[in-house]
Amino acid sequence: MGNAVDSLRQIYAELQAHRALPALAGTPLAWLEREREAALADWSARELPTRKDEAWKYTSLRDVAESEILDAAGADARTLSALEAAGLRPRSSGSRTAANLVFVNGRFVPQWSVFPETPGVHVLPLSAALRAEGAPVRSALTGLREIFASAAHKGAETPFAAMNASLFRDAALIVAEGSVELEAPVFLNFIHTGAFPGSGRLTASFPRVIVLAGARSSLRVIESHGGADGAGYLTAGVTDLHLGEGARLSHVRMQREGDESFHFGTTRSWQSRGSRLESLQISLGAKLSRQDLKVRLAEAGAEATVDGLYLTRGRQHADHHTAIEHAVGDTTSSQLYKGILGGESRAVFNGRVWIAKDAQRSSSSQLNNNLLLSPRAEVDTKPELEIFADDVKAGHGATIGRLDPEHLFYFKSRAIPEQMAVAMLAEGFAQDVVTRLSSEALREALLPPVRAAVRGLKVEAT
Amino acid sequence: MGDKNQALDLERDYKYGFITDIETDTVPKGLSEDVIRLISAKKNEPEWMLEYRLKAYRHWLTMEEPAWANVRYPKIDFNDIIYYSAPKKRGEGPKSLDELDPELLRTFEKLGIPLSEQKRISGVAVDAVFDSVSVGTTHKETLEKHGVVFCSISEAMREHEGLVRKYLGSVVPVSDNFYAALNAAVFTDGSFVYIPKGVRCPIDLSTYFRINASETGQFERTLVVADEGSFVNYLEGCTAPQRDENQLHAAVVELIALDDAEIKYSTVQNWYTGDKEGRGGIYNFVTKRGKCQGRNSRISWTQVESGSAITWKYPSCLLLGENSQGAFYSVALTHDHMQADTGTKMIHVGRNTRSTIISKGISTGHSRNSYRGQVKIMPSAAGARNYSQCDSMLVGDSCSASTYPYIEVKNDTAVLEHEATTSRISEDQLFYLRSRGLDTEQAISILVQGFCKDVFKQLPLEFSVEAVKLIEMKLENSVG
Repeated sequence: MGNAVDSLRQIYAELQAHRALPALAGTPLAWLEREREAALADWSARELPTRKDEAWKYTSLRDVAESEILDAAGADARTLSALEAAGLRPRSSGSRTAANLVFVNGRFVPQWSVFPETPGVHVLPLSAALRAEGAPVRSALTGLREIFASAAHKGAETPFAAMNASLFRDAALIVAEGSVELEAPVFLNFIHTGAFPGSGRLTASFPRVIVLAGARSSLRVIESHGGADGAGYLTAGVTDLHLGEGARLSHVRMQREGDESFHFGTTRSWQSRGSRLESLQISLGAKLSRQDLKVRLAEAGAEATVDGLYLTRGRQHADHHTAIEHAVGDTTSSQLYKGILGGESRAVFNGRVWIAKDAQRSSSSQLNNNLLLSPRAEVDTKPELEIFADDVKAGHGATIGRLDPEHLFYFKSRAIPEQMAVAMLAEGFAQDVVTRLSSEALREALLPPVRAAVRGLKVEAT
Repeated sequence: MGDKNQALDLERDYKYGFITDIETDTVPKGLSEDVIRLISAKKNEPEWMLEYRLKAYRHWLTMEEPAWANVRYPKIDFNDIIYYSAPKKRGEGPKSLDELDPELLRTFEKLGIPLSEQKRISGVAVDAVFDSVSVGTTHKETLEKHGVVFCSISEAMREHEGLVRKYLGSVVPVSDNFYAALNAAVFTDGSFVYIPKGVRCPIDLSTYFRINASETGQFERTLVVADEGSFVNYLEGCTAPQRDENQLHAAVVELIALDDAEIKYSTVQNWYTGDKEGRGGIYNFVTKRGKCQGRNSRISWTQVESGSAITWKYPSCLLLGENSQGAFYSVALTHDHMQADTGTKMIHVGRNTRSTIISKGISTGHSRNSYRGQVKIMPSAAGARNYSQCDSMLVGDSCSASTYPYIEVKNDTAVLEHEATTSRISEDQLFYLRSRGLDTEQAISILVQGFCKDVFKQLPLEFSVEAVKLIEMKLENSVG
């Protein structure tokens, strides 16, 4: 039986000894070094949280805590050919793609990536960006530092986000200059390899994404995480979204990790005046996954639509935590999280909306709908509101239930077999989080995989 | 206009803030096994009761004070509390109300509970608890005729030992939580109710609590058992005298409903809230839980929480019996520096169990008002149904309202709905009412009553009237 924190501490020490982490940049960056060390002090001083911690009340990390963690393999030729053989190499999604970056175990793979020059938009690995010159890259780094420094995001950081800050190898960097509009989505593919199942070992990767949407820019990003079934690995990703004045950003995080993996993702969005975020988190894979999404509506007129969809089966466990901070008045947030659960799976939703004192005329809504397909599935939902201003509109709702027997009867009376009826009803239930997306390109890219995943679900009799 | 403001100011200060001067029989400050033995001896308790208390005390020593609630207060020194205080008895003790200390009777008169009057006209039996020992019980004869037992829990321990021993701690075990364990160790009195099979209790039962004697924490224990097919309406109301030192009130209420039985438990809580700056006031840390043990049994909690500096209270239902039903209706009003963290737990175990939660929170001034609730559907609770609605209203920009609902579902045939909203009194609504000649205060009062209507209509008539008056009075003070 291993100890995750101990082995991660060891990985960090070895990487530092071989100067493998600073080598990321090619140049020593004192401030980045300090960030890595500060984050290390944060996560390495304590054990992983247990179910006694309120934020982890419904999600046990015991399987992770007792595993030995290994540094994931690099993106060498052998790893790549193995991935290719396993059919895990991501294919370009056709003509409607602005760029497609591929990272294996957190390292950039140039030979699998396509990032054509687009005026005003820079899509590149951070390692390359740091070597390059030019104003946008510099401002990207300043923005990055700002996000690092922001107290709101540091507050209740998960240990996995802190681990990422210490251990990330590379990052996908997307910078949209002011007033640039890009309709075609940018694809970011993160592929992970793992240890043999049953070995009690997990390999760890720390994917990182930074999006800087300049003033009045408009951008769409699909971030996808995947790996082979049966492989034991842990992903601790961090995505930072920085929205300038009036910027519009659609961000999708699609989680399709292998069935023996553990996935932890933190997404942070910092929003300026009049900016608008459209976020969608889709969780389909992993043995255990946890998404933490934090939004700071920092200036008036900022708006966030934060949606999610989770489909779980077998013994899968999917946990979604959201925290929306209305730091000032005249800000708007809306959340819709939907889940369909089968087998003995378990889903957790914890949505927190925080409206600061004097954040008058804030408006917030939140809804969590769950559909249970099996008598052994479990849902734990906790929509929280904390309100310190009086002139606000805030509400939340949650529902949990089965498919309506009358709806099923309607299908049956028209000679549609039950399994098909269930698939159609579940599809209808699931897809409206996708059809809510404003971009047609995103809807087109996401509907097929979502439909396929819903059709794979089975109803079990009570 | 000047006169009117003055009148409001007078009302603003706690109406029931006076201390009755009667000799009390107290034990020294602090808590130890010796104090518990002394309390038990003073009350002539059976040996098992002493053992029960000591077990609770020993467990309590191993527990930590809970810190998860959204409330802040200075640490309580549990050794700075007097754990026993009883009004001195004259000779053998009072045989009837006439024999009570006249001072005591006057206190009740001031509180608006003229026992003698009520006995004759109101049809409400009152088991008035003065500090920690029951001093007068009315309507005993009517109740006796129906076989209903309504007495102090000390008396019940002597007269109905079997029942008390069977049910005491069966809903809230000694190890349940920090304050429940403390209560089990040191409770000095409270009420006991037993409704026999098939009896519909002919009158509403009511207990008025009263904290008196400086520095006396009050640890009440209430046990209500409704046997098969019976029904009871139980009312509980509280007032407390004004003083600076914070006072701890850690009561435990246990309800048990057997097959087809129904218990309606209503509370109007108006303990002293502390002064304008948030000094003083009662700490109301109460454990209330009902067990729907039998098939088709029903328990409903209705509460109007308008007092106490801090309220920490979650009247809950354990729904074990098939088709059993639990309900929670609550209005919590906080003003000045009050803090309330209140809600309910509905634990569904039996098949086709149902629960309803309606919670209305109103925060004004610098107060914090939190709803914290849990709905849990166990795998065995096929066909369970829950509906929850938690609405908050904020008046002023220095208060806060929070909602923390925990919903855990382990059965796919369950249907749950949870809804929460937060809003304030809209200018439009106020303008509409004012344009029809109502002044601002009246308009606010009407709007708040509308907001609370779903809860108030659950209260028995006389309580409902009292609750509306109470909320009106409190709002007059807090809305500028």
